Amino acid sequence: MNLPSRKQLSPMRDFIVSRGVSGAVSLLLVTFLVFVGTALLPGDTASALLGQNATPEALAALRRDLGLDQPLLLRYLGWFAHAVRGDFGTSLASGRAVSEVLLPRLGNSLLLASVAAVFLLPVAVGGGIAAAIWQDSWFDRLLGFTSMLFLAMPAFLVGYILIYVFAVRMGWFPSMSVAPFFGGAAAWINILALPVISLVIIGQAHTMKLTRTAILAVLATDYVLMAEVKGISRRRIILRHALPNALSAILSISILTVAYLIVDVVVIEMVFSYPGLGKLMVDSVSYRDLTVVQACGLLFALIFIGMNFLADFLALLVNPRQREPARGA
Amino acid sequence: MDHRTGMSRRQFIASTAALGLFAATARAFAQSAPKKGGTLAIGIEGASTGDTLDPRTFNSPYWSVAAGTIFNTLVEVQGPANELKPGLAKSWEGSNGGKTWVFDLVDNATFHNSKPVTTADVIYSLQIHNAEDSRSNSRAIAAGIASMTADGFKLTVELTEGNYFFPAMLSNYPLCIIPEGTTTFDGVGSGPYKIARFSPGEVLELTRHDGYFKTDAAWVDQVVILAANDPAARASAFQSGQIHIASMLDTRTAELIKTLPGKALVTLSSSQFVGFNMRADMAPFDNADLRMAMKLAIDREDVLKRVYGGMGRIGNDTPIPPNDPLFAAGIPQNSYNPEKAAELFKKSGFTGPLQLHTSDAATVPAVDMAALFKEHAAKAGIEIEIIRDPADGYWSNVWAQAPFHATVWGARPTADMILTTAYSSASPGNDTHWANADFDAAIAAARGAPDEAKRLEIYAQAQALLSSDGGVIIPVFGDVVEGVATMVQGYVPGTQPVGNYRAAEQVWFA
Repeated sequence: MNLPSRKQLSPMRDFIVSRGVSGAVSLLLVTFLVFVGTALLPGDTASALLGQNATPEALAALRRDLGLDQPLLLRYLGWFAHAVRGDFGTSLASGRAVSEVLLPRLGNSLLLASVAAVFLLPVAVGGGIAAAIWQDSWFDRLLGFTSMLFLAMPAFLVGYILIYVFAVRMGWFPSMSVAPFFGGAAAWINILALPVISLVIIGQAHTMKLTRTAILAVLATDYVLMAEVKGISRRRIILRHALPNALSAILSISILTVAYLIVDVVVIEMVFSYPGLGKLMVDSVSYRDLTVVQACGLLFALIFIGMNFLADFLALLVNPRQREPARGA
Repeated sequence: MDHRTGMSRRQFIASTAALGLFAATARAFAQSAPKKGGTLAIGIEGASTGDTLDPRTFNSPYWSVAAGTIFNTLVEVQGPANELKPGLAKSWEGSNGGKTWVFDLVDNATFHNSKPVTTADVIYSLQIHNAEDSRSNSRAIAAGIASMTADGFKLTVELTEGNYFFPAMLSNYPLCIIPEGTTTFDGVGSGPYKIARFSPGEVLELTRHDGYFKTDAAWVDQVVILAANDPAARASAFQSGQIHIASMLDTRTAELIKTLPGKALVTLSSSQFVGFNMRADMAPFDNADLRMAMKLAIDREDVLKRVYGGMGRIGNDTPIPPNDPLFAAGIPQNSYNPEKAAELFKKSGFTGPLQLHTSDAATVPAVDMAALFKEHAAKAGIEIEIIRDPADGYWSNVWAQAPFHATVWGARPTADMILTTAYSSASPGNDTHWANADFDAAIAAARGAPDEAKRLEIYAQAQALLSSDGGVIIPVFGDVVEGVATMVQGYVPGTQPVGNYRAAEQVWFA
């Protein structure tokens, strides 16, 4: 018997190390690009704060206070040195600690994204499975048509249509999803309704299509043909044989869906004025509030890279063939 | 705006008020007796996640209204004619050529922390604006104060030079009164509502201040001031009833909102304006004939009709709108005259196209107006080439720098302030770089003239100079359109947003 090498013994650890390193490099690149990108925009925090009231003296004084008179690279390195120690500095616009500005907004965004995910995943995965079971039926075609329609529609348009119908015409929900006035937890349902429906509509198409494809791919395999030849019903084949085998793919799809949700959240937060991370980032860009933009960019990148990592990691876990070292090679 | 058909009572009241027919007393628009209760929600633009409660940083419509709800100034302004009203000062009197001012403060005002408001608080609140690191938009006002002395509830202010507009200037919203020695700005003021929750760039939630010194005010129990920077968001929140007062609606869609049940519009005769600057200190506009040619090459009526939907007042290339008591009605009005414009253009000796910079930064009307100007000028044989700059960086890279560009000026508390800030030769805000010694002398003289008739006369001269020779084209003063739900009673429209900042303490629910 061949003794497997150390490397072969732990493909899991291998995976974690290599993905961890590439993830860290990606994060570093993201922070640099966000920093340079924001700095390249015309104007800076000082001119944004002072606007039309800016005099050369006031501008110079404010720039000195904010440290904006330093060269760009030096400012980035300074930021980086602090950031690795978990210190994201203070907001240039308000002078408050970035973490203090960021954390409540992050909480709001995660709340929105997770509530959306709770509704989105069963709808989309269930829809995909149903579409595969009744492949080429009127149901499958209708589902395919509507999901393509929503996939093609820009996220903000979906938001505005919902506002027009459910806020302006029906008056069921508020059009601006700001935290409820003097309201308690129950009022949050009211606030979250329209953004969540928007996210479900926008996000479902992708997941549904991928789920359907994953199951149909398994259905094209020989053992499924064998099962069919043996006379087992299509529904039973799908639920008992195809689904468990497509599970790893569906799991990855679901996690990536959540990652995409985090991105869609930015647009939807702007449409509904929802006080989340995405709106914070867009608002901070208009004030050239570099430290806040940086921290937001870092968080978004972290969530996105983390979700991708998780998707691949779980795919590895549920699929024994990928977990074991290659044999007989 | 056509008032002959389908005019609601509120529109009638608002429009007659705009004409100055109503001497806007606080209850002029009462439709039912005032009663307590309810939560008033106001949606307004100009909020940011970087906002703080330091009055020296207040510099947007959002903060003007927040300040008018949380705080008091010594003097308040009300109605379309900018009538001065008592705030924390019951009365005031100027002497010594407008250099010495005595303010008599109310003796029963308290802060939200129950401490009484004293002259020491007032002195501190005014002084901080002129501190070394202050970026207050009212710094120049505070810098004009030579000394302040207190005697009980009497405050004597000595100015460095005479200024009969000083009390009006004290109505500027950053000059609100906070407790003496405040260094951690937590929003404690003496105003009708105190802060329950403040989330920057999102919302301010306020509850009634029970010790408020004005007894016939602060009817609603709670006030919510919502950050609504996007005009479409304001409009839909107003339509859906989420907010009762929506500031600055798009005039092009406002007419549609008016037809909805329970919604009304109020037009404010704001002195805010969008104009085009011709730099008088450099070629080609250092030529007075060319400047006048351009002033005659724009069809003001057409701009009023097509850019502002008829909601506005024709301008005469000075920052003083016709509804202002200081407006010079007797001087010649610049109006569209393509023949005369062509003649002056020829006389100026300039040939070729003129590049006009415009941008969304100078508001949407600036972009639309530039397109119309191009059409109008073409009829006079003047070619305008429009350059549309991105909004980002417009104020630092284009404004006051390009030879021909769009500008916008918000309303100032007094005519003197806008004339001084934007058109006196020494001001850093002189965005046309026009320098005229006679003009400078005139506005300095008017400030120190105790006699009102004399001031009017000097101002007429100053406006004549600016209109005939100055570098700015101000075709129209657009009305600012606000949405006010009909269930809101007692709202007094002024020249500034949301009932001159103080709608929260004026209104009650039907």
